[in-house]
Formats: sequence, structure tokens, C-alpha cells
Amino acid sequence: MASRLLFIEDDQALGKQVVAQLEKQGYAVTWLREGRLLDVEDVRGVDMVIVDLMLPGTYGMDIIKSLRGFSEIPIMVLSARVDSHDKVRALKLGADDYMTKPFWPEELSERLRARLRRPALQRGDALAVGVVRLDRARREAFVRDRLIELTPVELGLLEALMVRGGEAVTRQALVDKVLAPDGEGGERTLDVHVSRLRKKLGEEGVIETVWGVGYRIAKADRR
Amino acid sequence: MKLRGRLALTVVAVMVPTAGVLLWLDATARHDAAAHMLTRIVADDLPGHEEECRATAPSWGTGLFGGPQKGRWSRPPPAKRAPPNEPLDHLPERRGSSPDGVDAGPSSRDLGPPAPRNGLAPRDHGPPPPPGSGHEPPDGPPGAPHRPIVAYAYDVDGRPARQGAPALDMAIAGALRPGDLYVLPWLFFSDDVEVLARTASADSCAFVLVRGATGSWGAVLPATWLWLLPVLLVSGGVLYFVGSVVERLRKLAGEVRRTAESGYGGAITAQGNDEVTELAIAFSEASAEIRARVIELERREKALREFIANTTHDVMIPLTVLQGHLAEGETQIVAAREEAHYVAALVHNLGLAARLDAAQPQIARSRVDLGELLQRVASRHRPVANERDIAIEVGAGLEPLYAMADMTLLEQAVSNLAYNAVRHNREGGHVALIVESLRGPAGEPRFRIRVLDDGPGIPAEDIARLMERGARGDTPRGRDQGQGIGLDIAKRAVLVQGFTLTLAPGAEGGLEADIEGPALS
Repeated sequence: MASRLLFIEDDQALGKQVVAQLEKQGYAVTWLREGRLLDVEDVRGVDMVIVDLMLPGTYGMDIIKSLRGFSEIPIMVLSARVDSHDKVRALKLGADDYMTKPFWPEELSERLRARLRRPALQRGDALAVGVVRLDRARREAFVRDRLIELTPVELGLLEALMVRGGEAVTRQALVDKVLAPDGEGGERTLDVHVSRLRKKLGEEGVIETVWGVGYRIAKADRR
Repeated sequence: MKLRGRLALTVVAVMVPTAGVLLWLDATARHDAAAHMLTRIVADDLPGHEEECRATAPSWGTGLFGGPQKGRWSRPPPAKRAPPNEPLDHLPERRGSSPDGVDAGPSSRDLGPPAPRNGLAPRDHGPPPPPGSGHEPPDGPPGAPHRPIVAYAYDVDGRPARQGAPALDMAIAGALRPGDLYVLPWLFFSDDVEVLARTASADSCAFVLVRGATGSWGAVLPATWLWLLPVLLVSGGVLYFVGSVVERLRKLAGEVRRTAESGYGGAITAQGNDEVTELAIAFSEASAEIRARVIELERREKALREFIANTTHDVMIPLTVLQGHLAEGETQIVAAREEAHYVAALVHNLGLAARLDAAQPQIARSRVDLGELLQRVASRHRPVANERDIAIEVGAGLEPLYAMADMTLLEQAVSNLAYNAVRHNREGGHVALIVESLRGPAGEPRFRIRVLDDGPGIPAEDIARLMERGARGDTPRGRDQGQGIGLDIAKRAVLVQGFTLTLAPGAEGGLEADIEGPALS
């Protein structure tokens, strides 16, 4: 089901373009062309609110403040000012993220995706990224529902990669988190453990090497 | 030296020589008075004792002069003053010239009329008055020793008739004619007053040396140390008064300093009606003038900032629309996309340059999630990087890392570094944005943001030059117009927040730019 967005922007050209691009990516967009205080009906069923700060009518800050009075819906702020005060104030009032103009359409959709999938991360003991699933309580890992036998170090390594929801994790963080308790460390040891883990997971590309960073679990199913 | 100390030193420097001069004058006048009185006594009484002197020279000389009237001064009767043929004014006199001839001897003597021959000359505790003053001075210090007037007889060759008599200076004695009196020079630090007389006889009593003492204080200064009391009181009063002035000056200095620290916003209190008050008023007026100018400058600076911010805002919207259109276009528009991206970065940097160039750059610190910040930067540059098949990756630790930072300044700094890393990379290259958690020397949490690329990099020797404001690297980076301002803004935006920026050749080629600063625990 398409995510529903409430978009508040006074500039006609920009608003029209953004709405068109978002709809093209599958979002259902409601566009408000001027600022006004929102009520419960406005945000019913809406997954995210995107609001420009400099609006005629009601100022963007006031919209955020009033919205936070009755809703926890994610809010993305659009700002064209280089001043930090507006951003800090918007975040303090309850905004979740901000974007600075000018932005690329891809940039906006990437930020929206990151925001909208966030609640799915790190929920309880069951982690799932791509084709990998991990039950933290029972210390069991699965690839496509196939149980994989892992050593404690390999389980720790897999868990460290999965808690970030498929984002790249630095080699330094992995060494510190996974290898330090053994008293033996170093990035070479990490590479050995990753190599073994890859073999046990049995599929190519489940653990990706990220240039300059470290490793991550592939979010997409490559098969 | 502080004002109060200088004042105390001045008081001491003035008082000590003044007291010295006063004491010297006092001693001189006292000796003069004593010598004068002794001369009169000798002139009056010696003729009546000459016979006795000749008869009993070896034992003669004690208890001859002065009376027993303790506690009072009396002048010799006018009839017994200096003989008419030897007016005192014509007496040959010589005395010492030391300015320090203070006679501390507290004893005094009675210069009364001739006493009975067996009477000793008792001392009075008072000092001798100036000749003719006739007043009764107060008693001298208690316990002052009494010393009688003593006479010594000598023959014409200066040989003393009595054992223990002081030696006679024949150079002086020989010059005296019968009937002459001579006051011997004043010896420093001695209260002796000596008068040498030449009698008419030529036997064992040809010369008579009469020795008395000057007595205690009182010729010029009062008899007791009480005279010091008013002097000390006056000095103390002066110090106290000046001390209060110094205190007010100190307060004023403190107020001026506080006013300066508060940007000349506070008022300077002016109490009283003297020069210090005038100084306070003058400071207050100067402060108001400075404040007015500061306000005017701040107003202009704010207006300029507002202008730039609004202009930026006006530019950004059409630029966003332009970028939107370009995103829809075909591959030949890739170059146009890059230019639009560059213009956007440039406008951001110009806006930040105006902020950083302000007299006091405004830093709005807040708790910034550094991983989120890197994600925002990556998503900004990814659309353009993807066009050239350059991968931008973000790496972070397992826990979110936060820092107190100005999110716009830090984000723009990282963005500029990332932009350079993309722009100067090759097709199929990589850019990595990493945030790492570190520990400082004292174990305090720190962050390090690393921007890596595997592009051609720049020679190590050019890196230092590149960090200078406005400098641009040689080819291949030198062709880029944005290199200078982007890196310069990044550097200033980092430094103004108290963080550090270092550039170094990357471990896997390319360039590595690191931003380091304190993290929140």
C-alpha cells in the first residue's frame, strides 16, 4: 500500500514538481498550498508530513508545534536558510528530519524512505535484513528460513551487522564490539571471521564489503 | 605600584627627612641656648670663685654652679649677666656642623643662679628655653639622669690640676686673653656643652673649663614624643582619605571592565561630586558612545545577514525546480546537473561565508546525530555521484554518536569535503563518509568524521598549501573552481566550532579529510 504524504509548500512551481515526482515514486500526496494549523482529520491515515518553514499564513514552526500537540506522525522540514536556528528550533519542536533547498528529487525520496522504514528497525529480539533473520533471544540465525549453525563470535558479528538495519558498519566498530572480548583482535581477524560467516550463510552477496567503511548485510534479495 | 602603596611611601619619604631636620634644628637650638646660659653663668660666677680655685685647684670644680630649684627654670639676675667688657655676642664661638647632631640625652640642668658652694647642680626634666623666653617647660622623660655642672682648672701650659680632667686644646686656649670665654665646638651625639675661660691669674687656675649638658628636648620641638602624635594622626587621616579615593577608583575600574565585557551595555554608576565622579561620567559617556556604534554595526551586520539569507532563499527555490527538471532529463543533461549541483553548493557556501565573516560568528550548537548528518550529506551528493557511477557509502558504529555542534556549519563542512571527493573522483570510484568513536587523552569521548575517496588525490606537499585560504590545488584538482572556497569554508566552519580538520593522502589512494572534536557521552 502506498505511503501517504501531506506536503505543505507555497511555491507553485516547486510544489507541483515535487508532488509529481513523489507520485511517480508511488506516494499518495496531499498538497496544501498555504500554511494553516492542522487538525486530526488532516493527518488521518497520513504516514508523513513534509512542511516548508517560510509559509504565508501560518508559519511552519507553528504548524509543527500544533501538530505535535496531538500526533506523533513523522515530520520532515524543508528549509532554504543557512541559519541553524530554524533547524534546531524545528527539531526541538518535534520535527524528525530536515532537508535544505535546493535538493534533488532522489535526495528527497531517499530521505523519505529512510524515515518511513525507521520504525521497522531493531524491533524486539527478531531482526530481519534482506534474506537473513536473527532471533536474538534463542541465538539462532536463518537464511531464507534455513537454520545456520554459527559460533558465538559469528553470531555476535551477524547481530552487529543486523542491528543497524542493513547500514554499513565500520570495521573499527565491528572489531571493538565483536572481537575485543576475546582479547584477540585486529582487522585481519575480523576479515577471517567475515569470510567464515559468508561461507556458512551459503549465498553470494549476503554480506557486502563496503569500500572504505566495512561490511553490511544486503537489504535486497539478489536472487 | 598601587596608588595606596605609592602614597604611603611618599608620606614616609616626606616625613623622615622633615623629622630629621626638625630634630637637628631642635638639637642645634638647644645647644645654643645651653651654651648661652652656661656662658652667662660662667661670666657671672667665675670671678667670685677664682680665689678658691687657686687655693684648692686639685679638688676644685664640683658643685660650683647652678641651684637646687628642681622643676623650674630661672634666669640669672640681670645684674649678673655677661660682664660689660665681654659682651656675649662677641664671644669667639665654634661649633660642629653636623646636621645629625642630635642630642638624645634626656637630662637637663638647672641654670639657676649661683648655688651654695657645696650644692650640686640638680637637673630639671625640662629643656632649656630659648634665651629670654622665661617660660616653664614641661618635665622631660622620667628617669633622666642628672648631671651637674663641673669646672676643671688648668695652668698656663694647659696641665690639669685634677686627675681625669679632659685634655685642653692649647691651640684654642693659647689664643685667649685674660677674661675671654670660649664655647668649645659642639660634639655630635653628645649633650656636653663646654665653655673655656681664661682667668686673670697665671698659676694653676689660668684656664677653667666648665662643662654642662644641653638637657632634654624642647628648644624647637615639644618636650615629649607627643609631638609625633598629631603628625601620625594627620598622616593616617591622609592615608584614610586617599584610601577611600583609591577604593572608589578601583570600583570604577571594575565597573568599566564589566561594562566592556557586557558589550558596553551596562551603566556606570556615578556617585558624589568630585573628580572621580567626573571620571565615572566620562567613562559612562564613552561607553554609551561605543554602545551606540556597536548597535549600529550589529544592525548593519544583521541587515546584511538577513539580505544574504533571503537572497539565498530566493535562489534556492528556482534552483530546486531546475534540479527537478534536470533530473527528468536524459544523459546529455548530466553536465548541467553537475553545474546546478555546483551552483547550489556555491550559494550555500556564500551564505556560510557571510556568517563566518561576521565579527562574532553565531554558532547555534545543538545535539547532532553524526550518523544522520552523514546520511543527509550522502543523499545530497548521491544523485550526482550516481550519474558518474561513483558510490557514496556511509559507515557508522553500532551506537549513534552525538556531538554538540552547529548542524548547518558541520553539515556544510562535511558536504564540501564529500563534494570535492565526488567531483575529483574517477568513474566507478568510491567515496566513504565514516563516523568513528574515539577516546581523548583523558578518556573523554571524541568523534572523528572521515571523508575518504579513491580518486587521484593530491601530492602531500600541496596539502598544506591547499589548506590556506583561497589556495587551489594543481591539476587535476586545480581546474575546479569550487575547490578553494569549499575547502576554505569547510576549514573555517570546523575551526569556529573548536573542532580540527586534517587532510592527508588516503591509505587506499585519494585523499582523506578528518574532522575531530569532542563527542557527547
